[in-house]
Amino acid sequence: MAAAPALTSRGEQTGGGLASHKTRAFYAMVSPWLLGFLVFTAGPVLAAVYFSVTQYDVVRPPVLIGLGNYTRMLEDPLIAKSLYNTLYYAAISIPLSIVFSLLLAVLLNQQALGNALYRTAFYLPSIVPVVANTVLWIWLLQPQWGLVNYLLALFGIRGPAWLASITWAKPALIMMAVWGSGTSMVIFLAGLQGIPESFYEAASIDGAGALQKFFRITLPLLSPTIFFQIVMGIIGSFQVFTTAYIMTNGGPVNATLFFVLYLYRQAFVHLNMGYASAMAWLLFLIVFVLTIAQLRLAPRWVHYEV
Amino acid sequence: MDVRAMTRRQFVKLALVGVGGTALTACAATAAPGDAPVAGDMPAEATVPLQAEKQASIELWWGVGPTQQAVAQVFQETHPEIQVELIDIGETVYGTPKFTTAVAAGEGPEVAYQNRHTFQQFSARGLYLPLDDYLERDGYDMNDFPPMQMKTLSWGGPIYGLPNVVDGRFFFWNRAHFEEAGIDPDAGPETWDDIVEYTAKLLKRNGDTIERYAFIPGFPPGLADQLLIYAIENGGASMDESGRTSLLDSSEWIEALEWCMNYTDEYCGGFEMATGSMQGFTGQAQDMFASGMISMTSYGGWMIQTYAAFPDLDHDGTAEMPVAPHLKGTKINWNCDYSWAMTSKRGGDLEAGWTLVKFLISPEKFEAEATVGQQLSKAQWEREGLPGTPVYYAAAPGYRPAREWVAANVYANYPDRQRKMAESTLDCVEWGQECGLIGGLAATELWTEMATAWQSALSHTLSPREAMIQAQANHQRALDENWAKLEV
Repeated sequence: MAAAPALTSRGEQTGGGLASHKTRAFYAMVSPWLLGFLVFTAGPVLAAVYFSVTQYDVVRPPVLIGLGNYTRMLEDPLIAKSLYNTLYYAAISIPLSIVFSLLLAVLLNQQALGNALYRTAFYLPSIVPVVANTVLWIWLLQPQWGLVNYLLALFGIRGPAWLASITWAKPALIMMAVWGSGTSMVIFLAGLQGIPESFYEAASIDGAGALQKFFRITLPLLSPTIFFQIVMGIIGSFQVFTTAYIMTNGGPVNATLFFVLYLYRQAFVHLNMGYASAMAWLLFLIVFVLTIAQLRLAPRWVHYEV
Repeated sequence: MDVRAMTRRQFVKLALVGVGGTALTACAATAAPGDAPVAGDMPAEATVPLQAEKQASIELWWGVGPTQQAVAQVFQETHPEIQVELIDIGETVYGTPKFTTAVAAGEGPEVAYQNRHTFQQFSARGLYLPLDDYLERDGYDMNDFPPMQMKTLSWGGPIYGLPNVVDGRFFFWNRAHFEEAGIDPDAGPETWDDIVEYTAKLLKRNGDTIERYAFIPGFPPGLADQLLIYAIENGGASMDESGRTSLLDSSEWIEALEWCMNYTDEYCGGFEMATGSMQGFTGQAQDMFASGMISMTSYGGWMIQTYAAFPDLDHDGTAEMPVAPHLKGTKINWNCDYSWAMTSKRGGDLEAGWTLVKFLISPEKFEAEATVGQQLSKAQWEREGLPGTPVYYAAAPGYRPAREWVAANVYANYPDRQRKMAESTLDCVEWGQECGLIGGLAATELWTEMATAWQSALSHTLSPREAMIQAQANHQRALDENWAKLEV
């Protein structure tokens, strides 16, 4: 039988007692977050599993329909369309954003006059509220009087109708996403500043040029940061919603109907909560598989140690 | 007194007791005896209590602007025995999840402001309380309410709402442009043929670009349901009498869409140019019609006040929309309206809620609104240095005594042109088609399908026929599903 924990003169438990006391204190401290997580995140997630096998319109109790919502997704042409739109957006916006923000970070990592000003200027779009950004871009992309087409016209190019064009609406939203990649730039900048200067000095002594240093030193040592950006980019891209909701509402002809926008429409416009829950689980599955694939592939190109 | 510091353990215990207690209180509060019924438990006819209790406290879910606050204040002053809490209902066009979930949980308001699109869907789902007994007890003459609107506010017999206002679509034209083009500025186009004829005189092109549009069928861009007005102008209906069969693939709809597509191609530079040109112009100062970039527009009665604030805009308008040539002479429009509904709330005071509903449809309520509205318009006119009489636009009330009050006390004070326009909207209350009936049990799906069909045809992704066949199939499926849900 284990001995009773000894008490100090101040009444505190020692040994195992102290550990258990600390454990309880730990749980007490994290309980506000834990409760919030259980009630507002884990609860709804689990509820969505149940709702996904029901027909549920909020007003009346859910009716179990088995896998009906999942089989309906196979027949719904807008599921395929919205998935295609989302994949298209992700496949182009993620690499573009990464390349753009990496280039900016490399440039802003140089010792140049006014660097702080440039860093602020490039980061600024990231802290502008997304709705304000969106309204601004509606005007920038105005076909007849917008700045984008005005600039194109200076080079003799007749700009498209952007948001009104089935062909150009998605690229317009991608362009916006790339413009707002200031946060990625800051993360890359932090990564760049963590690379010891001595590596570049040694490479210079060995006669390496700027490009060689970039591809042989900078990129490999930034690979964990790039990996992080890709994973977060995939998660973020599959959740693209606000810009399309405000600027195009999925149009023209569903050209910008992204998966989450369609999910929102099913849930909060048509009140098909069961179908929307099934869609949410499909989205989770896709992001989960892509993230696992990234994690599996990571050891081949991500270098965590110098 | 012996005061000791709280230990961490005591704090944790206290916190847990607090959380648990709050949860129990919340649960208990939803199960008090003598509660009003909740959605799903709704009786066919609500029983009417004989007397309002003193010091009742009720919720009104509406907007929370200065006008709404003034209305609540006047009610409070005239009904000191009822405490009204004004709460923002949020977006009302298609109903809000906030509203539906609250009502479903028995935590909705006693009285709520409701739009027409989803009214029948929500009535059918049991979100509202029937008002027939109250109306009968208090001797309301049902002839004082617009019959079409009351049809929207009824489901399966009982009446579930009373009208607030009726606000129709409105056709505006620029008188200066008309005069310049040699067109009589005192009358707008009566038919689609007239629009085409006027367009030849009003449209200003400069090479590939259009400097001034005559008319854009899709203007204003914020209204995604443009196709509906053209279908109605062509004699179309969205559903059969039973509300179970979608008629979106009927010839009236296809022809209407075809006319819009052809007009857009020929006179607006095609779908992309027309849509692109409207981009960003949904605000007031940048409005294309107000700034003279378009000569004719099919908009809404609510723009009477907006356009009155543009002193350089010499314009006119009517609630009688231009129709398809074969319907020349027929008065056609569609009314967008809002209403008041009572919902069940656990422990809610239904009698106090009904007292509030009666006030909200009364002339006194519109007087309170007009007082604040006129002050706001006056302030706008002064702030912007606008010439002439400030115009406060009040949409036509649904209840006849209130409508008569607004006509005599608000519209009569307008400048001549706005007075004529407002009287036109009053007239439309009697003959305009009812928006809520158009939606039926699949309103949100209908609106989505109309927008998709419009874009598909005008962008030449699909032919008008193909677009409407696809829209009909999707609308029909939604109708079937929603009817089936009622039968579960």
